[in-house]
Amino acid sequence: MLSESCTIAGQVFFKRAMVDGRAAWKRPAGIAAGIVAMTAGFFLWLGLLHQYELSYLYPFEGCDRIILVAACTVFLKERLTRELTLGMLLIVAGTVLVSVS
Amino acid sequence: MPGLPEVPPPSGRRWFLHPLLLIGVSVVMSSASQILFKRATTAMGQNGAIGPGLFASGALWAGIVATLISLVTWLNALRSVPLILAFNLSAATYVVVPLGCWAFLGEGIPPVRWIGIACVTLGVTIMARPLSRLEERL
Repeated sequence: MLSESCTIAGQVFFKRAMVDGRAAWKRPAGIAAGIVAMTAGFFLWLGLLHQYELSYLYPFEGCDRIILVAACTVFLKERLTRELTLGMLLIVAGTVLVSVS
Repeated sequence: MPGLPEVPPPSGRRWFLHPLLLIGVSVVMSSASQILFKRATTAMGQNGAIGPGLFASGALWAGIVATLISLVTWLNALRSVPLILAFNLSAATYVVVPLGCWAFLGEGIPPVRWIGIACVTLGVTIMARPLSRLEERL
């Protein structure tokens, strides 16, 4: 979960930097913050990869959809439409199935 | 569609900057990097601790290059696609990575995992539709 949270935080920083970062310093600062957050997640991930099969471990990342929806709604004010909800539910169901296989 | 107001008009935009293409390249590069990282860590042996020796692995560096390409294409896609949509479209990695593991690492895919992969594929297809429609309208 810590690895997932770092990844989502990085994505929110990236999105903010690419959309709002019109001031000269804002875009590089936002991208740098995103890279720092994602690097932390990356090293946690490498440690896990060392011990488990990738095809088993990777689907657990499916949990990040739920964290992402919350983050996008709160920090980016993005809306979840019916199609997005349906697609997301299928993806979460799919990742759960892959995880338990 | 609410939540998709940011896609800029196609006029003046080059074809290789199409958001769906950028997300697709990002997905392929990200999946390739995961397989390369797995190769790099597996080469160290199951009981060896991860240490500086890992950085001598060519697979690790190839994975890092693939990650950088994935990051650049991803950042460009984020300029015009809402994160909530782009991130869910990137779930295509849940299809590409297991298939890559099967093809390149020799890992098996049990039947239940195939069903899961099918669910993810369907979910990504449903999510890709609104973006494609918006692109056509513009």
